[in-house]
Amino acid sequence: MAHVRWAKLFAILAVVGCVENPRPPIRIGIAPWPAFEVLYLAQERELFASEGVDVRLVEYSSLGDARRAYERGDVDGMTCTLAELLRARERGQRRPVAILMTDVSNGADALIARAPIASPRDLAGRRVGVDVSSIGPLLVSRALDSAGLALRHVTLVAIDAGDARRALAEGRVEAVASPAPESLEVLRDEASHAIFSSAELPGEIVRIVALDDEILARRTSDATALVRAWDRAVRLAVEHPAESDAIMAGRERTSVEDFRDALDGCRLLSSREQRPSFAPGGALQRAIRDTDRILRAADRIRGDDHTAGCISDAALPWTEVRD
Amino acid sequence: LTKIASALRSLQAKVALPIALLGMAVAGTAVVFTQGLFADRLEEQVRLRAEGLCNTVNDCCEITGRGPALVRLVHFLAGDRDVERIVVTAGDPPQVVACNRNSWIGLRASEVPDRGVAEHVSESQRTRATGFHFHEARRSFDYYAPLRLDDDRTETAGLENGTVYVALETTAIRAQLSGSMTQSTCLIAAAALLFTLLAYALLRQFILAPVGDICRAMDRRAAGDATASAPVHAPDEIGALAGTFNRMLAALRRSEARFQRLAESNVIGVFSMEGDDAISEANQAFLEMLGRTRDELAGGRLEWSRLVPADRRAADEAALQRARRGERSAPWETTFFHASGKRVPVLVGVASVDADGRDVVGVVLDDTQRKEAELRLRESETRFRVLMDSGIVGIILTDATGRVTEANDAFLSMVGCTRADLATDRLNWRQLVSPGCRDVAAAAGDKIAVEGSIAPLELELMPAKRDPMPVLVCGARIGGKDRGSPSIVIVLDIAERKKMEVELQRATRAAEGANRAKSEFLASMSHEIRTPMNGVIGMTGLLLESNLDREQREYAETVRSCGEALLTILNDILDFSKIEAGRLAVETVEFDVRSAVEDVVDLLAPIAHGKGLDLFCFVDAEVPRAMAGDPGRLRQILTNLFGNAIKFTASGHVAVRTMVAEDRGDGLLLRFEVSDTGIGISPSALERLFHPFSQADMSTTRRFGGTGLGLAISKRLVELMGGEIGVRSIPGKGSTFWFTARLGRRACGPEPQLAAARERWRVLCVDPSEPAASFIREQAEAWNVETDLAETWEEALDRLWKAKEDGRPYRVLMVAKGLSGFDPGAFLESTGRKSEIGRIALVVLAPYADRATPGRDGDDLAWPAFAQLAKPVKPSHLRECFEALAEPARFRSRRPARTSDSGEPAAAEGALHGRILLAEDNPVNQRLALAQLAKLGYHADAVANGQEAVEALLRIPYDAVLMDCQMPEVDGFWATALMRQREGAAKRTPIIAMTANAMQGDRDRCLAAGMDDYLAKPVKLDELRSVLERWVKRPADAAPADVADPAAGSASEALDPVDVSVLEALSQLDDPGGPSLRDELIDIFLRDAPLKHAALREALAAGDRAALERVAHALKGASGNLGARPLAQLCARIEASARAGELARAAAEVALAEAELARVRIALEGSRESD
Repeated sequence: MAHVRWAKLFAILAVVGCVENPRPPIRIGIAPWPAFEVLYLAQERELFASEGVDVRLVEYSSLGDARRAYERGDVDGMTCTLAELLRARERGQRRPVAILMTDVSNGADALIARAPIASPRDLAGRRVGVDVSSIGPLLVSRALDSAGLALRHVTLVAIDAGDARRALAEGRVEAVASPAPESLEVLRDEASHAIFSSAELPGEIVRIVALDDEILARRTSDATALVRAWDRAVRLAVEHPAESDAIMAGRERTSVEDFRDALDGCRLLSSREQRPSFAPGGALQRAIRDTDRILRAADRIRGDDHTAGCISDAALPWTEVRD
Repeated sequence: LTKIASALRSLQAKVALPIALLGMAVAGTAVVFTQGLFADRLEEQVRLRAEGLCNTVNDCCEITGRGPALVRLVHFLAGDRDVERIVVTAGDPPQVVACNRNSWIGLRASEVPDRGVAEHVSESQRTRATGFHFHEARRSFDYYAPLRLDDDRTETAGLENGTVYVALETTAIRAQLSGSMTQSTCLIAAAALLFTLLAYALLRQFILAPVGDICRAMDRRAAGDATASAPVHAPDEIGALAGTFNRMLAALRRSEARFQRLAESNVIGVFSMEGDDAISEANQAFLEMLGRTRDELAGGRLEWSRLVPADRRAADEAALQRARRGERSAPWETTFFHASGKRVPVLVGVASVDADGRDVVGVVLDDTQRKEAELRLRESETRFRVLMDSGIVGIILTDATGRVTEANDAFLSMVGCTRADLATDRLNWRQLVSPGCRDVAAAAGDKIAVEGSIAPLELELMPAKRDPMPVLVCGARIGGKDRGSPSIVIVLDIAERKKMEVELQRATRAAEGANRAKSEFLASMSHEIRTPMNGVIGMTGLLLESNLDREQREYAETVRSCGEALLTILNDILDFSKIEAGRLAVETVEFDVRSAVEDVVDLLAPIAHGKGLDLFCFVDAEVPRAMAGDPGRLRQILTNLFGNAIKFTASGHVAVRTMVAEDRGDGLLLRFEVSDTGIGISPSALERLFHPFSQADMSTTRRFGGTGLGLAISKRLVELMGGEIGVRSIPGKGSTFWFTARLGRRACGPEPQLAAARERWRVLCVDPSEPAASFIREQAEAWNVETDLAETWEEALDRLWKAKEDGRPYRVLMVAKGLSGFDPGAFLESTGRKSEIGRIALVVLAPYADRATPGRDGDDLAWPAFAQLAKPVKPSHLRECFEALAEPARFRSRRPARTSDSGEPAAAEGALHGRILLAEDNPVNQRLALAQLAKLGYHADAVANGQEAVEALLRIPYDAVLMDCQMPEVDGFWATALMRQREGAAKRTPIIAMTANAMQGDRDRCLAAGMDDYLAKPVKLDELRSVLERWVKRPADAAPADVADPAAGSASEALDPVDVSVLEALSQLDDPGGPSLRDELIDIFLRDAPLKHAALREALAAGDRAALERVAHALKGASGNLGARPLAQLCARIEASARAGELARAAAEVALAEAELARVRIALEGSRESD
C-alpha cells in the first residue's frame, strides 16, 4: 500500500509539472500591400480575438524582411507572394503553406519606366530594377513576353521595393517593377509611367497568407479562425469602406485616397471565392508552377522542386461566415 | 476518526509526521527562496534584454539616422517574440520616428494610443535617464532610455532629444526562468522528499519495525501465545530491548510453567473464572476431584451455579462477589457435584486477580478425607468413651503435672475416689501410688512428658482404706510433641496376675531347680562314675598284671571290658550333652584321610573278626593324601557307623568306601560309605534314625544295647563338617550309611603312578570270597592296574595259561590262603622255576588270624617274588605291596608287606615297659592311642578330662601321662599344674602333651605349664615310641634340668588335701555325747566353700581385685581351720595375685583352687564317713 501511495504522489506531481501553458499567439509577419491591410483591419477591429484566435501581426518593411523573419523563426507565418513562398521553401528549414489568398493583383503591381521607354518593347537592352526575391522577375518576364522579348534581353538590377523611386530617379535603372504602395510613390513622379501592370495578367499574380506547416497541422482551428476573421474583415472593408480605409491607410502611411487607389488594383478574395483556386490543379497550383518556372528561368530558384504541398485548404471554411 | 486518532497516537505517526513536516518545511523554504530568486532573475534578465535592444536601436540611430532604414531595423528588432513594442521618438515635443507599428510613425508621443509610451518618453526626456517599469498584470516590461548620439553627425540629425522605448513581453523569459526554477524546486523538493523517505525508512528499519515486532510479540503473548518472542534485528539498543524483552518473556514462560506445573502437580484443585459464572481454567486435580473433563472445561460448561447444590448457590455467589470486590474472604466450605452425582465436600478459597474483579482465581481442597476423619474421630471418641466406661481398665487423662483431669469409673473404683474428688482438681495419679513407688511414678510421668510414652510399668496403687494394689501402668502423651501436652494413662489391675506370677515363679524355680539338679546330677554322675571307673579299669589292669589263675584272669578281663563299655556309654552321653550345650566343635589340622579310615578299620577289625565278619576298605585314587580337618571327629563318625554295622551284622561283611563327591578347588567334599550285610532297617525306622535316644526299635536296644546317641552325635558332627548324613537300607539285606564331609585341600604332590600301572601289569586274584576279591580288584583298578578274578584254583590256572598264550601273562598272582587245590610248590614244579609263568609274583591273602604269624615263609618256597597281605586288605598295604613287587631289592630287604601292624598285645615288641595314663576326651582318639600304646607294649588307662587324670594319678603311680591339651572341664594345662602341685619336689611324673595345634608356641606353652615333652596330633607310632622310650625307660631322669617346674617353689608339704591331724585335734574339742564340732565345721565348710569359690570366679570375671582378695582371704582362713593346707596356700596365692593386680595368674590359681576344693570335699566327706 505504501508503494501505491508514493505512485499517486508522483503522478500528481507529474501532472502539475506538465500543465500546458496557454496557447501562444500566431505571429504573422506582414509587409505593406493594400490587401494585407485588411488583416491589419481585422487586428485593429479585434476580429481575431472575436474568432477565438490570438493573431499578432508583426510589421516589416518589405516582403523580403517578412520572409527572412519567417525563415529565422521569428514569426509563424507571413503575408507574401508565391515567389516568397517558393523561395522560403527552397532556402529554409521551414515549410510555409499557403492557406489563404488575400487578393489577385489587378494593376497594383506595375512596370514603370521613364521616357523614352514607352512600352515593354522598349525594354530591350535596358536595366530594369526589380526585387529579385519577389514577383518582380515574373512581372518583367510577362511584360517582355508580351513584347516578344525575353529576360535575356534586359538586365535585371536588384533593388529594394522602397528604393525603386530613387533608383529610377537617379538613373541607376531605366525601369522598375514595383508593387503598391511603392508603385504609387514612383508613379507620383511625373516622368514615370507604367508600361505594364498586373491588370494585364488577370489572375496570375496573387498575394497569400502562408503558415508554417507545423503550426497549421497543430493549430488548424486557429488557422480556420484566422480565415474567418479575414472574411469578416473583407466584408468590413467592403461594407464600411470609410472607416476601414482610414485604418488601413494609416498603417500604409498614405492618404485614404491613395490607399483606395491602391486597393483598387487588388481584387480581395473571400474564402469562398478562393476555394476553387485551392483545388488540385487549380489556379493557385498553376500559378505556383508558373512562378517556379519563371524564377528558375531567372535563376532565382535552384535545386529541387518545392511546388508540391505548397497549398492547403485546411483553413478554408466551407461556408462563409456572416456577422 | 477513532482509527485516525489511534494512528496519530502511534509511535510511527509521532516519528513520521515530524519528519514529513520537516521535509515539507525544507521544501516550502526552498520554494519560497526559489520564488524570490525567480523574481530577481526575471527582472535582471528582462532588464538586460531591454538594455540590449535599446543599445542596438541607439547604435542603429547612430549609423542610419532616422528614415526607412531605422524603421526597417526597428521592425527587425521588434520581430523577436518577446518584443512587444519599440518606439523611437525624437524632437520636442517628441515625435515617433520609428516604431514597429507603422501607423504610429510620425505621431507625436502624446498621440500614441499607448499612454505608457507617452509617459515614459516624457520621463526620459525630462530626466535623461533610463527607467523601467514592470507590469506584473500584463506580464510586460517597459524600458526607456534616452538616445545618446553624437551631435555633430548628419545622420543623427532630427534625432535630438531622442528616446528609445522598449516594451517586452516577459512570458517567454518567465517561462524559461520558471522552467529552471521549477526544476530546481522539484529537485529540492525531491531531495527533501528523498531525505524524508530515507529518514523514515531508516527509522522504520531500525526503530519502528523492531519496536513493532516487539509490540506484536507483546500482543501475541497477551493473546496467549506462549511461544511469542521478539526478533533481535541488530545488536543495538532496540536489539538489547528485544533481547531483554525475550528474556522477560522467557522468565515469564518459566514462571508460568512453574505456576502451571505447580498447579498441575498440586493435589489441591486450582481454578480461575473470567467474568461470568463459568470456570475458565482448572488444573487436573480440580477436574479429577469433580470427575470432569477438559472438554467440559473448554466448552464453558462448568458453571459454578450448576456445580453446587441449590442450597449453596446463594452463599457461594455472595462469597464470590465479595472476592470480586477485592474483599478478603476466608475459605468456606461448600459442596460440589461430582460427575457421577456424588457430593464432594470441599473447602474453597478465592481471590480477585484484578481491580475490576473480573478475573478470580481460587483453590479447592477436597474435604472428603477431613470429613471422614472427623467421622472416624467421632467414632473413635465414641469407642474411647465405651472403653472408658467399660470398667475393664482404669483410664485417666492427665495434664503434664500428672493431675487427673478425667477418669473413668474403673479408675475411680481402683483408687477408691469419687467424681467429687475428681472435681477438686487435686487428684494426681503420681501421688496415688504407694510411697515406695512414687519416685518411679514421677519418673514415668516425666518420661511420658519428655519422650511421649512409656513402656508398661508395674506400680502399686494405694487405694483409700484398702490394701495396696499392684497395677500395670502405661501412658502416652496426646496432643502433639509439646511437653506440656496432656497424657493418657491406662491403669490395669494386675493383682490376679501377680498372684499367678508368684505361683508361676515358684513353679519355674522348682522346675529350674529340678533341671539344675538334673544337670548337676548328670555332670556329677558322669564325673562320679568316670572317676571310680577309671579306678576300676586302672586297678583291673594292675590286677591283670599280677599272677592270676585262668579263672581269675577271665573275671578280671570281664571287669575291664565292662568298665570300658561303661566308659564308652559315658563318653556318648558327655558328647551329647556337649552337643546340647552347643559346645561341640571341630578342629582343623592336616591329616591323612586314608590313614584315618584305615585306623578305624584296624580298630574294629578284631571285633569284626571276633564275629566272623569280613572287613573291606576302599579308598579312591582321587582322594588326596593330605587334607585339613578334624581326624578325631572323622574317626568318631566312622567308628560309630562301622561299629553299628558290625554290631548289626551277624554274617557277611562290612565295607567302607571313600571317594570324592565334589572338587571345589580349595576343598573337597568326601563321601564315606559304610555298608553291611546285616539285618537292615525298616523304612519307618529310617525316619527317626538320627534322632537322639532313638534306635530302630526298642527290641534292638534290648538285643544290641547302646545308648542310641551315636547316630545323633554323628549327624551333628557331619553337619559341623559341612556335610550330610544318610542311609539306605533293605531289611534283611543290609544297610549303607553314608556321609559327606567338607575337608580342606593341603599342598601335596599327586600320588605317583604305580609301576604296575605304568608297566601294565596284569593281576589275577583268586579268592573263593567274591566280595573280598572284588574289593581288591576295585582298589587295584582305581590305580589303573588290570585285575582279573577267579574263584577256584582251576579257574586260575586256566586264566594263567590262557594269558600266557595270549602274550599278556599275569605279573601278580594273589591267592587266598588255604585255597583249595593251590600248592605253590607243585605249581612251581609244574611250571618250572625258570619259566615265564614261574616268575609271576605271588601274594598270599592271609586271614585276619594270621596277621602276627605269617605262616610259611615265602623263602621256603623259593618263590621268585613273594608277599603276604593279611585281611582286611587295606589300600595302603595293597599299594605298598605293588610298589615292593616292582622293586625286588627293596622288597627283599624290607619285606614291608609281609605283616601288618596289629593291636594285639601278643604281637607286642617285647617286654612290658610301664603304665601310661592317657588323658584324651575323644573316644576314638582315646582308643587309637590305647591301641598304639598296647602295640608298643605299654599298659594304658584312659581318662576323659584333666580332673579325672589328676585323680587317677593320685591313685595309681603311672610311669607317664599322655595329656591332651584341649579337654572339657579341666584342660591339660590346669591338670598338669595340679599334678605338679600334688607331687611336690619329691616326685615328677613325666607328662607328655598331645595337641593338634602343631605350633611352636604351643610346645613352649606346654613346657611352661609343667609338661615334659610334646607330641603333635595325629600321633605317629614311631614318634610315640621314641618319646615314651625317652621318658618311661629312664624314670630316674624324669625331670630335665632345663624344664622349669612351676610347682617346685610352692610344693606343699603333704600330698593329702586335708591334714588329718588337724581334724583329729578338732574332734578332741567335742563334748562327750554332744554334737560333733568337727562335723559341724565340715558341714559349714562344704556348704560355704563352693559359694566362696563361685564368688572368686565372679570377682575374677568382673575384674574386681578387692573382692577377689577379700574372698580368697576368707576361703584361706576356712581352709586352714580344717587342715586343707594346699587349698589355703592356693588361696593365699590368689590373694597375693589379686593384690598385685595379676589377674591372669589369679585366674589359673582360681582354677587350681576349684580342683583342689573338689579334692578337699572328697577328703572331708570321706573323713566324716570313716567315723
